[in-house]
Amino acid sequence: MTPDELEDQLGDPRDPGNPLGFAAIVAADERALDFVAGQRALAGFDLLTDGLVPVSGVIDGVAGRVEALELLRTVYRRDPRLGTRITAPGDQLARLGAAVGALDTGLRTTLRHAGTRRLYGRTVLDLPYIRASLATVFVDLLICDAVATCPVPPPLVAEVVQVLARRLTLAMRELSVILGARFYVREGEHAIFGKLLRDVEVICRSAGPITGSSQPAAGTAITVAACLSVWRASQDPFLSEPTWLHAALARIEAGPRWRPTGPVAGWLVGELLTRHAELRSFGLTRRCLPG
Amino acid sequence: MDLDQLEERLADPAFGPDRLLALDQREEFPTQACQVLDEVGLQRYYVPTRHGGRLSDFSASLPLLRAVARRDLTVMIAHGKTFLGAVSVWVGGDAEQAARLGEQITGGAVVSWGLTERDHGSDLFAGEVSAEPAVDGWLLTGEKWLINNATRGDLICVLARTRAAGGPRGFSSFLVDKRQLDPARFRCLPKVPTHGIRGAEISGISFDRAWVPATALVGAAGEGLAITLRALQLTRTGCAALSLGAADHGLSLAVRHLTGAAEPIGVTQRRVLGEAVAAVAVAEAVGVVATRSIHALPAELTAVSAITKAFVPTVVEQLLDRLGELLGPVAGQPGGEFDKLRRDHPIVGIFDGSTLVNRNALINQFPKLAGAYRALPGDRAGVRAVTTLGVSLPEFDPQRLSLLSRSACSLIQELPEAVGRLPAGSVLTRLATALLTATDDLHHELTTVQSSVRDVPPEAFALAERFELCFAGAAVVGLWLGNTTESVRCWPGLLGWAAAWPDALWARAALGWLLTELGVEVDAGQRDDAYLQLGTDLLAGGWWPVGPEAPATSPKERR
Repeated sequence: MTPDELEDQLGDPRDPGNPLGFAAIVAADERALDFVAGQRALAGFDLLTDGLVPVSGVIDGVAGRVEALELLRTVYRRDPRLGTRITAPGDQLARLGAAVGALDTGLRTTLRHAGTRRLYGRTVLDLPYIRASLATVFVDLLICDAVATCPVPPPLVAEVVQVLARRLTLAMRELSVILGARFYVREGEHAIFGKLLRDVEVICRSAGPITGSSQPAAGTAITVAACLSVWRASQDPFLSEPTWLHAALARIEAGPRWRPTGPVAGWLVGELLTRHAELRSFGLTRRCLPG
Repeated sequence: MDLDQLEERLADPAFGPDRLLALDQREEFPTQACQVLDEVGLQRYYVPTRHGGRLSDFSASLPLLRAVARRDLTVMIAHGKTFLGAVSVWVGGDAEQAARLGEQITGGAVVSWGLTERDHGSDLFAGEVSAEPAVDGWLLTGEKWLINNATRGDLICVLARTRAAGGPRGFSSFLVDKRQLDPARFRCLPKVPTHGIRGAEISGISFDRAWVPATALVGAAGEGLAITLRALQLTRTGCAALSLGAADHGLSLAVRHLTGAAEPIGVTQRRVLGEAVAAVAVAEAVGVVATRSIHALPAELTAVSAITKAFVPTVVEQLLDRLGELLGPVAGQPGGEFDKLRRDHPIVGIFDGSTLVNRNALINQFPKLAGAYRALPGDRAGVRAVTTLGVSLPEFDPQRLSLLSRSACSLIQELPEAVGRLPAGSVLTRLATALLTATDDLHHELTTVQSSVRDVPPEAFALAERFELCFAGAAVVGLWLGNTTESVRCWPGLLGWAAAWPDALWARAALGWLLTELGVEVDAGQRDDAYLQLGTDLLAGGWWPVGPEAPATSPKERR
């Protein structure tokens, strides 16, 4: 099964009538129950024997790895807990890479909120800082995707896991600040965000505690190399431009306080809004999503 | 009641972590824990002494609220809401109204604060709840939503539009006694399920031409926004206690986890823990100078309260994430103590004006702040008073709280003088000098921001963050200069930890942390050594609220 086929099978997650959508996922979560409908659906698709599990092992080559990750993300963009049940236990890299799907939904939920919520006589999305903040999360998502899909030498897996865990947490927190009180309320169409935040946190924390062998410089080097190689290899009109790469490198270098400004911010936000309007994923594949 | 007595009562089973976790899971109000606080009389500290309570020094209340927040943020937020609900009356009400309210609160009445509305959030100018004049009073109409204790509360202070066109003089504050309202004219809205503080009662209230007497009006008609903005200066400053308590709680869980594990504690773990201690020292320094500023520099609270409310919760969020990395899977365990803390704390950065709202408020003051820095010095006596613990403070005078007009920041304006008093050649002096350079650079850049209330550029927010860091640095330098190991011995916070004073350990670690956040290059080896030392000392059980036996022992026993 391809990621596109799986997306179609799972349907538009925002459709309140979709038994596999956010409303059903949040309802199950609220009752602290497993999402049985989702489990049944996934079991029906026979993903386990389709080779979903071995993201970093059995599927060889970058293309196979990306394909497998995208399949996982299709599930994680709806319910990471459901995904955790089909990802190989112990494969932290696969879980964190798949969690990029949850971040995608987090960003989408926040964009919808910012586009409709009116404060100070305009929409939240019209506030320049909010646009810069959303663009920052977009850059973080691209960085995470680049790192998650690059080949990692085994001795550096722990570093990459740490890099992804920290950046995913940071990005979800940034979105929660934009959502403000709405992030804190567990009802309405933003309710999925709080659940995703908790799930992403569980995934990032299970990446393991800091022990003492960390080499932050190696983590940074891999992150930079991953972004560079995406830029070099890409034929995509957006990704082959150096603008996003500059933004990504600045973000990696300058840390949590960096925000894009001026034309770079405008360009990133333009791409973000186009993808949002065209229902495409915010990651490297820019895949079409149902809805 | 003093802190020791409060700590003793906090040993009550109602504050047992398992019991509080179970309540959170069931989303039940922590009734028993709040009752313990009522019995010990914490609510007296919500009422100024002149109105019959025991609130005379805001900086002395900080450790009380922090001690409760350290056990459980939900309980502190649920109980402390009464202070927020009452503060408009302390700031804008007349003596009779304030005395009446003081009597009710000390007697156990719960007061709530109705500011926000469903469609307007922090945008108070857009509020739709209205009050129209009626016979001997006013008629309230409209809905307030996401209000802490709106349903449980006996009284609620409501901001309502009294002029259809709104505007700065278009709103008024009303102290509404729900027990005297016509039940047919109002209804309380259902409790809203929330991400954290699940037991707290976040709900709302809807009025339908509900009559309130003329005596409900706080201050004069049209003064509502001015009163609210001044009240927010006090509550935003007070929020530091909540975040500091959460930070202590996080440290305590980390220490317990590390010391309880079978494996030896590695250097990296100690260093990360020490970095968190440095961050707590920074947050506490801001909390201390800010609460003392209420008394000694009230006219500057416009800036100081915005800085405190933006900075302290943000630092603590960051710190909790680092501690989460230290704890690993334990931190992620749903239903666990850290998980609850991690869900509870973000609310501090949201309510009472979010981090972004407060940064925006600070940005609006940039031109004045830049001008004040050029026109050094600041109020030197005021700065000495806010940075010297134990010096008695003047009584708080709400009339001296200003709005925008007089904004200045003496603590930062006095930084050059303070750095000049440090002994030449020490590591601390080098760090403080780097801070001063960063502060000079920042103020130069402040003048370049195009000020427009509507179109605040992202660059201005970055400057606001740097301003907060410089302010925190000035607080650290000031507190270091103003105190000694002896003089802080009775201060029940991290700054009262004697082991952190020799060789200026806490101040070096705090400035190292701040300069790193500012992007200023520091000697990383020296900084990390300071973190390592703090982490090691903390694990050795040096600081009483966070030791392995904490929080069962009181400060008195440990000292």
